[in-house]
Amino acid sequence: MSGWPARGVAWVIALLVLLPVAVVLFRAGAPAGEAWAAIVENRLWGHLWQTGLLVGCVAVVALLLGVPTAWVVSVYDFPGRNGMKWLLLLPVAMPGFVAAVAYVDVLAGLVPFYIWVRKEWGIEAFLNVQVVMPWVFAVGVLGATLYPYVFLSCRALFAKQAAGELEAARLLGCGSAGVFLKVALPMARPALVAGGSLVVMEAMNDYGVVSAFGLTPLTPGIFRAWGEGEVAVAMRLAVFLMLFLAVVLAVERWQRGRRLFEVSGAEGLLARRKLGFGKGLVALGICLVPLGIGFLVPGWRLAGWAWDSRGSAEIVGHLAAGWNSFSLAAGAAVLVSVAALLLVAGQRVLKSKSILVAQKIGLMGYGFPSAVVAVGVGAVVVWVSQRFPWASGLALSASVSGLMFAYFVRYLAVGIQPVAAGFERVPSALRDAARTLGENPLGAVLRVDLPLVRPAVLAGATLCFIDVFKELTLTLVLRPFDFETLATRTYRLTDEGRMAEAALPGLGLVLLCLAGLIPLTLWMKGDGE
Amino acid sequence: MRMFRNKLFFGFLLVSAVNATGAEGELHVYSHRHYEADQKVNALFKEKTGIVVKVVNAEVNQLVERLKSEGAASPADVLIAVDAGQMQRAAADGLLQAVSSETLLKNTPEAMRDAEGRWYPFTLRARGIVVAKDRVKEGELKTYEDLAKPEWRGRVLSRSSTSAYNQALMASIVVANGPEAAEKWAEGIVKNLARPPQGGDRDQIKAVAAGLADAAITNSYYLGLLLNSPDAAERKAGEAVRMVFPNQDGRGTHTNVSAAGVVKHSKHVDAATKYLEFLVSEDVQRIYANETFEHPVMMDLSLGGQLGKWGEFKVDSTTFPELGKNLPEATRLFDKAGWK
Amino acid sequence: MSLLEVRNVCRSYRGAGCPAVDGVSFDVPERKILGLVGESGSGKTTLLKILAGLEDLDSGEVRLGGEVIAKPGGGVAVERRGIGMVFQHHALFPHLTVGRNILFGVRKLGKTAKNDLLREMLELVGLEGMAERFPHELSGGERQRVALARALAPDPKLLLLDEPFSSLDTRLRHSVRDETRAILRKRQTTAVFVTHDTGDALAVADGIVVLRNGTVQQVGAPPEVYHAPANAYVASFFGTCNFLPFHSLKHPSGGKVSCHIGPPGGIAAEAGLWVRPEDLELVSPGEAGDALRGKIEKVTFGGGFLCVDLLCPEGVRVEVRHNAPTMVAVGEEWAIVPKAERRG
Repeated sequence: MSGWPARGVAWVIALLVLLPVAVVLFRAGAPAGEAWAAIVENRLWGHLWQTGLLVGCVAVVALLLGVPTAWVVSVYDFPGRNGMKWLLLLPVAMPGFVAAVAYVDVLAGLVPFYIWVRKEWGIEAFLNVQVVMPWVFAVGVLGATLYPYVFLSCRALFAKQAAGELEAARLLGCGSAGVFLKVALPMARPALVAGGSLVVMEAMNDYGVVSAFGLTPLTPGIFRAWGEGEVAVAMRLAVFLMLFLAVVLAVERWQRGRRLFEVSGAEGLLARRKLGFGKGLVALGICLVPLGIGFLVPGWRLAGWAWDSRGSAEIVGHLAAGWNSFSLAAGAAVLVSVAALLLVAGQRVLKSKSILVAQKIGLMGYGFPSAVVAVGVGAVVVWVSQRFPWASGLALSASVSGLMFAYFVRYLAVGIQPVAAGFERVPSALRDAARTLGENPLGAVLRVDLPLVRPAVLAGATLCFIDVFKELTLTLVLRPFDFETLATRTYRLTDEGRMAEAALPGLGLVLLCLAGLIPLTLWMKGDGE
Repeated sequence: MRMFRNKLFFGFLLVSAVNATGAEGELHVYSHRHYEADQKVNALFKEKTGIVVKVVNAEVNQLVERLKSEGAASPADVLIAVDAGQMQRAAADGLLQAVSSETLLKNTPEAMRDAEGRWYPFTLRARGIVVAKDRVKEGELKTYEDLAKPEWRGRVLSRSSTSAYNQALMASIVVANGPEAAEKWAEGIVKNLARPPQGGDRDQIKAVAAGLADAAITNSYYLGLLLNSPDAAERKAGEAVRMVFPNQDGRGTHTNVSAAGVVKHSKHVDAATKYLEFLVSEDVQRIYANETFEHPVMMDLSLGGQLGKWGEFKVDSTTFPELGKNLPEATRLFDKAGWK
Repeated sequence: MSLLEVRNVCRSYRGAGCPAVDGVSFDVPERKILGLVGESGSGKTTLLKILAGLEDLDSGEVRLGGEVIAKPGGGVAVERRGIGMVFQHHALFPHLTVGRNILFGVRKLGKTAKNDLLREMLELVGLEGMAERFPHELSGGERQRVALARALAPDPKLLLLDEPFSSLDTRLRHSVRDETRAILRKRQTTAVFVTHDTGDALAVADGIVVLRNGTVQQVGAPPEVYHAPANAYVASFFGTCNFLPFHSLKHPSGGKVSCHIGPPGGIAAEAGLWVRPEDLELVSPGEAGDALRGKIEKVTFGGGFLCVDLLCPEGVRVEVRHNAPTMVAVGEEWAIVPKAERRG
């Protein structure tokens, strides 16, 4: 079997993933003139240090929220533990910019506090505290909605992989704190690094939260330059963002050292220690902090506002936006699933090294910053509509295609990973057996691998759906004219100061994401915690 | 999935096609404005002329991009912006066509409309300074330039420099005082800010009322909206401040406009012109005066109660024609001064 | 003519010091069962995979029914060889029922014919009525039987079995072994199976190929391989074998025994006797004359017999399987003589 069509498709996919970044790098080299000089003089440094400070602080907060909760939930038994194990994941359904809606007015309401500061400590303190508070809120909101990445990776580690070591430590007389600090934390380093770098990447990509609180790291900067038509400036800022990413990845690799990501320790689950009533309450309290900040409080406030504004005339617009969100997410999920299946199954069938490389390239897409992908794809769309002017009447559809393209680039990895894991779990003996029973390689994959891999494919599609559904940055830049998704609509209303009206689409977004998360957690559960 | 993608594609194709031809009794307006009052005005237009107004809302730079990419195939008839600078640039880019009529010439101030008739204003939006009644004496603050003086340290509020209203104000200062002085002025304001710019004009007014600062740069109609808000707290905030129209002894208060122009490739030029005339008619001006609290384009204060309370003021018409040209410089100077 | 002809097959892996399979040749006549025995690393599994087509060979040739199915650089594709295989851990398709598993490789039949075949297969392996069960609902032995039925259903020319009994516990093993042999006989299937367990090989195979480090040590029927091993390795592979550096073993009643295992491949220059423990017995020194004497060092209970280790003069160690009712104990001196039947 020559397999050239499959190889060809695989390479097309890989090239598509690389295209936006290539465009950015290429266009960044174009002369940017005065506008760039002005940026360098006035804004560049601000963007850079703000980005650094933001991701650093958010990472710290996410670790502070994620690690203790993962520890407490894995190692101890207390009333409500079973619920907490899953509830702590709820913020995944609450994107930062939706949570921000509930906190912006709190920030605005701090005026009496500022006035008090001015009275007590004078004008310098007054000015400083007003610079600090938006940072506190932005970092808090981002940290409280992103900690689940850390929580998940640590939980898996504490509960299963480190079980033997933790028990050994206890037997050797270590108290709880000792076990945590001397054994668990060092062992958890790979999980911390993995979860932490995901948090950093998401924070780098954020636009909604930082804009709501008035901060200006690189991503809003790129966005602004693009919106003002300064394409070359946007491209160059995008390159800076990629440099940032490279630094983050280098740090991650350095921290991970020679250790593999998966700490393959002893099999078997840790036996949990039951806590007394008082300590149990403390444990529950520890869990409620991130859950509260990241989900319960915003959810409650939004629900209240949404209920109040239920008679609003905007509802038709909300429904249209909801439909847009849904169709985009569904379309992207299907595209990604098909491509992921093609890449992984194709590699299995043909055992082709080139398809494997294409797969690895596909995985890279998740790491590209959203702003970079946005301006890269944006430039391609503009180029296409300029080269083919008869398509300008269809500029709308060109943009939708552009948006799908961008989603594809960024979220292909989300589809590939579960599918690849699913295929890994199919013993090769099964495929060999099918071959001895007369099936050619393609038939073996179709009749044996595919049915067994179906839950994994569905998981990947669902993950992709949720990610696209709540996506903001890409959608804001690339959406067609007069086209809103629930995400962009929520953001616009927040930006216009119409918090109460932003609550309804925001809440709708969260509820629909939750609906998508439930089958996913069931699948994860069936897969063994 | 491919079927679905095609459906989406063809759906939009269909919509574009329908839009492209456009029925006869229809007018396509690309507008930045989205107040309820605008919907009222359009409904009134339909009542009067039978022409249905179809509005597409977006930021004005997006609208301009759209017009540029649509070219001759554009279904748009009218472009409405809330910033003279943007309108001037749109005209300079060749996106608008010149129209004229007695009504339009009579009912719009010469100084504030396009010399070639490519666009006409229909409301005035004065950008002044609100001050706390209990903390700022009458006559203490008279000019924009005063606000940059050291005695106002930590007492001033403004929204972000990315706001078109601030950019236009800066442009007018550049024209009036020259780029260096303008830069110094911006630096002075930045030093005096009580907090880094955040929120919109209404947030600044509320913050002044709450005591965070003593003065804020804001458009006058925002105060009107607060004073007449259904929310009691907002009304109280509005009542705690008073409006100052700066530079009355000099060039006058910087005033921007809502402007409408007929799009170059419009297929319904007559209907469009009628629409522009309608916007400056007395009924519509009254609606704006009483619902959005924007000043009527001919400054007829008898049309609205609130406006009467503020009284007459001198409008800066000298810097007005140069606003569009100086917007890039304004942005650059904002950056240099560190006005976020 | 033999159904399967293997000629000089060699296969090496890059980076490994020596070849996995080195010049292996043997034939399998039709309707016969061949056992490939060897330790892990002997190359038996690689050889099996080469026969199946799941691995390539570097040189040599394999013919099935006269046609070349494997040669360097290619050969007939796995799915077209008409060779069935039973995998070590059964490899049943977990998402299909027993019935669907069994019928997986059956293509050219109509619906009724398929159902008949299914019923036949289920009867053959003794799993009637289990067609709608799923693999995870079956026991280890039942799964093995389904695997066998599945491999046999398409009526393959040759059946390969990879360690078919290794995953079964001892009690099950014997019955499954016998049943499998009976089934293969009944269907008159030609089969090659791979095992490291000598008991399996001796019980089930018609012919045995002993592999060591990729090379053939001996090809022969089970009795041959057991009683007339070609070299020391084969001898000790099938059970303990004593090496006595004498030319003969005296028996008290006179007469000598010179049963030895010799020659090529075996230990070079030294001549001597190779005797299995069960071919020796212990007599009291008094009655033994000048037979070989030894002091008992260890006695191990083996169920129906005692394994007695003795130390003889000049440091020669001998193991004797003692099943006479006489008691023996460590430290005692006894004489070692060949059993009556084996004298001569």
